[in-house]
Amino acid sequence: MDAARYQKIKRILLKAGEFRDAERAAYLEGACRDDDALRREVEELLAADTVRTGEIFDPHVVLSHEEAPTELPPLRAMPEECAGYRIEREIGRGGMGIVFAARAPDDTRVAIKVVEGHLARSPAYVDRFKREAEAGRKVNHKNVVRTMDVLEVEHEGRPLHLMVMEFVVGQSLRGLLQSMKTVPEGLLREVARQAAAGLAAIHAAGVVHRDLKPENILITDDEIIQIMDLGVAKLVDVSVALTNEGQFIGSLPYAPPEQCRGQPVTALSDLYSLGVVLYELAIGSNPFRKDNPAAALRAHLQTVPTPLAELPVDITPFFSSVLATLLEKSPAERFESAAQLADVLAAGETSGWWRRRRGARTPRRRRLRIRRDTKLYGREDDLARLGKLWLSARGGDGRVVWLGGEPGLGKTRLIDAFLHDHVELEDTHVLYGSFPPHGGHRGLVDALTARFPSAELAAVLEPFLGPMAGTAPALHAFLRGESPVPGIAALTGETLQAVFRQLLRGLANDRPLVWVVDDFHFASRSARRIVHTMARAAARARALLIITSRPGCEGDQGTVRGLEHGAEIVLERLSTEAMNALMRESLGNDHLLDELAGRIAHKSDGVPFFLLETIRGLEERGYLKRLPDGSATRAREIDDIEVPSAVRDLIAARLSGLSRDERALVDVAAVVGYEFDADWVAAVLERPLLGVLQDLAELERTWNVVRASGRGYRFDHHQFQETVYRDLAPALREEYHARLADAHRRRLGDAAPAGPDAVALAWHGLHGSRPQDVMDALQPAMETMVSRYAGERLITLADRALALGLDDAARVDVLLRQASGLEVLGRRDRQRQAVGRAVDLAGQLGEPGLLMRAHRAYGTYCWNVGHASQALDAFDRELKLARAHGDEPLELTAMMNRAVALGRVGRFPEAVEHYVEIYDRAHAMNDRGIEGKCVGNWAMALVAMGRFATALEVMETKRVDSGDVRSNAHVASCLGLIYWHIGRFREAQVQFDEQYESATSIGDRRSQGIALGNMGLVHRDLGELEQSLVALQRQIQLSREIGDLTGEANGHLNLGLVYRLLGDEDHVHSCIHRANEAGRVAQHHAVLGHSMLLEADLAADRNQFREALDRLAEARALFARVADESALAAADFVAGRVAIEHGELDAARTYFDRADQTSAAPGLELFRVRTRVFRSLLPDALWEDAAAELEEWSAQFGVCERAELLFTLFRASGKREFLDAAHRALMTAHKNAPPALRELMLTQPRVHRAIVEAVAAATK
Amino acid sequence: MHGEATVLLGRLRAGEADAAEELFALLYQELRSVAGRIFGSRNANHTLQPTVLVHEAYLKMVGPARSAEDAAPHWEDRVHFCNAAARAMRQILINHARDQRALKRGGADRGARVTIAGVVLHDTAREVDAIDLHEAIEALQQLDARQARLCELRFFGGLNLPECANVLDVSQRTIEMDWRMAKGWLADRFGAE
Repeated sequence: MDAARYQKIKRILLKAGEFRDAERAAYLEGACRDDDALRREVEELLAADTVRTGEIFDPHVVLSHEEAPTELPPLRAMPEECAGYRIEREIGRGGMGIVFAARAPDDTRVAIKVVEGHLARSPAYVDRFKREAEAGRKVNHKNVVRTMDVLEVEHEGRPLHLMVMEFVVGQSLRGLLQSMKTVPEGLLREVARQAAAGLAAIHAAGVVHRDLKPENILITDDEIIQIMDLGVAKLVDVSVALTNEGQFIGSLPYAPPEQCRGQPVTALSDLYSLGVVLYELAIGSNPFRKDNPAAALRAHLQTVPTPLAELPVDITPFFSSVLATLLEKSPAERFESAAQLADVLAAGETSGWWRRRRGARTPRRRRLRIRRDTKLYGREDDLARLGKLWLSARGGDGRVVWLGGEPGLGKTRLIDAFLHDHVELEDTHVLYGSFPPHGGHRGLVDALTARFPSAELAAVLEPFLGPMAGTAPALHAFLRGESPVPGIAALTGETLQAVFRQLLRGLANDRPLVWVVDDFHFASRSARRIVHTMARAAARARALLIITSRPGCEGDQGTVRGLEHGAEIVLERLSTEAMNALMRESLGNDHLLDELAGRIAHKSDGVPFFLLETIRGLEERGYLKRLPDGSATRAREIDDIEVPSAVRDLIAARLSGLSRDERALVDVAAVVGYEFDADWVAAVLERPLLGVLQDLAELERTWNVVRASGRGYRFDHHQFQETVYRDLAPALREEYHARLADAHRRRLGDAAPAGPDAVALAWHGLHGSRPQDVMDALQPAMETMVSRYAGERLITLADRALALGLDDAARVDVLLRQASGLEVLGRRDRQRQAVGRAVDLAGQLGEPGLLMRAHRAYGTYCWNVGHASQALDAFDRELKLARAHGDEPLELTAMMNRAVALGRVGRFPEAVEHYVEIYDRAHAMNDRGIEGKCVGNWAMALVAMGRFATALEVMETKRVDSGDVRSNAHVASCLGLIYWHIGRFREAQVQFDEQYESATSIGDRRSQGIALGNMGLVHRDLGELEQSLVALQRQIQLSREIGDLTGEANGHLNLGLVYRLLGDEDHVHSCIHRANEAGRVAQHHAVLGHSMLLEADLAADRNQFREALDRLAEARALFARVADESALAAADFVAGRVAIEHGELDAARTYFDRADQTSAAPGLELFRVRTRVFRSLLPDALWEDAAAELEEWSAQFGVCERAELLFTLFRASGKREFLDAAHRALMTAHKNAPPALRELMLTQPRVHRAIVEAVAAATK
Repeated sequence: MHGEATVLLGRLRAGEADAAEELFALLYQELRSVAGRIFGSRNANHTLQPTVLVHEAYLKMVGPARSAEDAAPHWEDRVHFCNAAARAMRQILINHARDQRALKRGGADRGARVTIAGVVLHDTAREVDAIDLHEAIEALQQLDARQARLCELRFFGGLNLPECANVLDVSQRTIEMDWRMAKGWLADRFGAE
């Protein structure tokens, strides 16, 4: 053929391709005319084939060392019998040959494979086939289909090579996959383990399978995995396979990279193929199955399949890692052998391989981050506060903020919002660095290197180092983690602190600075010291230093608390409203919200992260669907809402890697408690302590499960301990508890259990179901728990004890102690039940000691819920019993209770009479305990009556040092309050500090909280409003931690009072709201009444007098219920004041009269003075008397109230001196107010504004 | 070498003819050493896939794509590269086959036969002698130069049809017709079975 003709054909062919059918025929007719040969040629080409998409065309070069085999026609038919085997039927046909079902001479069923095709004609292949098949025969393993015989027979004049195999009834993994779509991990692991075992046996026989694929691995009907086709498989070379396209496609997706490269295959190649098979089973598709072989080859060589752990399939990190290892491109990176793989799979997460691998990897931590596309809910106050702090910081009045809160509450989210809303990023240095676990200096280093991503850090940072510029190269080395240049000393210790101090100042000099130290709790000791230094240095810099930390880092808060310029923001769980708002935004579907709100809120517990996780989980599980507009809709009936798994996953993942021994250790530790000593763990496990300590160190280093804390250990997180404890088998849990009880008893020897030892002994004995062994520990244990406010544990312990069958006397004792725990926690319903049962039982027993205690407990309960008169009755009964009993100390104690109750209903004079008697009798019988307590209470009664001078005298002359820290705290508290009331605020402060220290030293957290509250009050009256805020917030947090609702309610209330002085109305409202919430749960009428008073004040500030009077009426009703005279006086006085401002003079007069009447009782002088001063505003009143009284009592009012009273006198008298005095008082407070609120303070509260305006007018 | 190939590809795209020659020289060295390694081993039959070899050479000289998606920007480069590689590959194989043949003629018993398997002719995969194939393509060159290049790209360069269409700058339909004709012609030449 010449070129011209060839081109002609081509032209016609191309043209013909444009037509179809008849048109094409017509065209060809014309184009070819008479040239039949031409026409035939073109038609042939047209008909030859259609080039299919993805046509398999993959030529390869074969270098063969032997002559091409003689051509033979292919096998047409099998003989009916050969070598004694009866061939029954064909059951399969592949590239390698044909498989027949057959019967052996003994009639057993076998499968016979006939090697056929051009292979059979190549002597070299046949030799190898025989060699490998023989080797395969040696493999006798339950996971390998047995090769029974290898034969060579003559048929139709040519040799046939037969392989006789066991006949297996079952299903291939291909079939399994088709029926299951994806195979769950549990089954998959078992498949993998057995297949690995089978492979190990094959490899041990010196055979490489070479063609593992789902079709070649069977699940027999006996549920055993069997590998088939070995021996033959060895011959399945890429070159051969390619002669049959279908075959090639079948195997290529499982071909290891080395085979794709034409390199020799080894046993490790089988591991790769097995890896591909398992991966395919796990996700239901093979990532290497491509449209064309080239793409498949490329993928094998180049593409690493996504680790299963990162795909939405439920696969453990362990198994994901196993597969990733099998799929390594380089054979050396895979497992050492199939045998090792089998071992690893058998041992699972406890295998040495996995531990090494986990150890080698840096543990990947999932950061708990809130999705950024949702608004910040429920954090408006905190955000505003950060904004205000920034305002002053930017002005040169540097601030340090401690931002605390448990994970998931959105600390980082808040900072993001703050930076976004309040900070002009271009004109500010914003440094952000987060400490990872065992973070060393990372958080600091990252902050700088991220802000200055330059290679030349020394040059960049030098300008900010001022006098320390010389350290720039060393700082560079420190930040880069390099060893310093020779001749330059490395930065350490104090130099390092000085450098960072200088950096902070230098940066802040350059432009305003926000420096965020995130996850401070992970910082190393040295890093902490640096941050402390920076915190101090921030005082006079244009800098806001934000330090975030988890709860439980008590010591660190000192960083901020001790600082004048420090502030603390503790993120709390979100309110239901905020959670609902967040949920509404996230769902974008109100109907759905109504349906789900309750159910999701229950699971998410006020933690926004949990909420979003729960919703995400519902989406993932297909319950919710997103519409194009982003709103969610229900895709199917939501039957159950799982607890958000993120935290649980985190814990499970960390635990899953532990060896059996380590797990046992963690289990025991969890039984010991959140904080635990290694000794106890060792004792229970009967292991040498040294070994346990080594393991613990390892657990801390590698797994981050526990952390050293002093000489003991604690769990990384409370939830950790809880999860582990909950997951323990009950029997095992009980066993561990019992063993712990034994260990504690051994340690005690013959000593009587007391204090924490008693607590541990009782706790473990009861939980180990051995009450009889620990009865002697029960009482001291409960006593200790009451004194330490371990309320929840106390209640649990008591429940446990009550369930285990005690005698009635012990029952009453336990019930009463439980009741006191419930009292602290404000759980009134259960308190009532416990007290009721105790009273009944004690009545039946007739044991006076118990009965007295029962009455006292009942009285306390009545007082708690505001039934003052019933409370008093109960205490009366207690006293009567005590008298009848003739036990003087008991009688005195009972009298004291009665006196306290009298005081609380405002009958202070009677109470004082009691105290005088108690004191004398206790003094006479030399009972210093009762004496000391009595002096304190006596003084407190006098304080409540306003007789501060007398109270002080009593304290100073009669005070006894009982040597008991607890009563010292009480005394300090009394003295402090006296000083506070008489305006000796600094001295009060000293006492409250002492109270706080004493309380801290004995772990009395309620007393700590009260001390903080007291400090807050002193700060307020000194006009140190910012410190006041900090102390009160801390009180609230503490109260919350010990479940003391009364303390919490009081804290919120006091906080509200301070915010009112600062004119920050929004905050006042949220305080009132929270105080009411806590107060209602605790049924604390006094708190509720006082918060009503505050609301009334607030309404009056806004000139809403009618509403204010309504609130006051409600408050009065509440106070009347508890018969608190001083509170009633307060309500009446405030009502009078409001009425005057409203112009209702007659009403005002009535209120004032009533207030006068109530406050006529000794001790309520302050109310008399207040009333007098405001009465002077009435037209017919004389202000001179009021002025005289105020002068006498002036020091006893806090500065802000003094300002108000003086200003009132100015209004009544027109005397400039009062105005000036009022202004001076106001300015004292103003000077010490939080800078951000100073402006507000002079403009917002009505009285403050009026003072400022009056001064301005007068000066004019 | 990595950088060099990339630069050459850049120049090639810019239309510099020299660059193709330089790339060819570079590739020839690389591919020959790999092929030599594979065929150098004495004790077994070997196969060598131009597709894989060229692809590996590409990775080695131009650098790997970080992911499948990432491969897209390299596509054009890869096509040009494979074009050069196909020529180099063909040259190497034929030299090798000739050496083997010479060995055999010289009476050595170690000479081996070099064949190209998987050649799809009239719907069946065939195994043909490498030198025969080379000569066939040379003959085709006389009839239709483009179809000869197409065969070279397909057999030795591992390019698929769309990629070939790109290199040869013709439409998809044309390349299909070319391929159909070339295959038919080769089938005739090797004798259909």
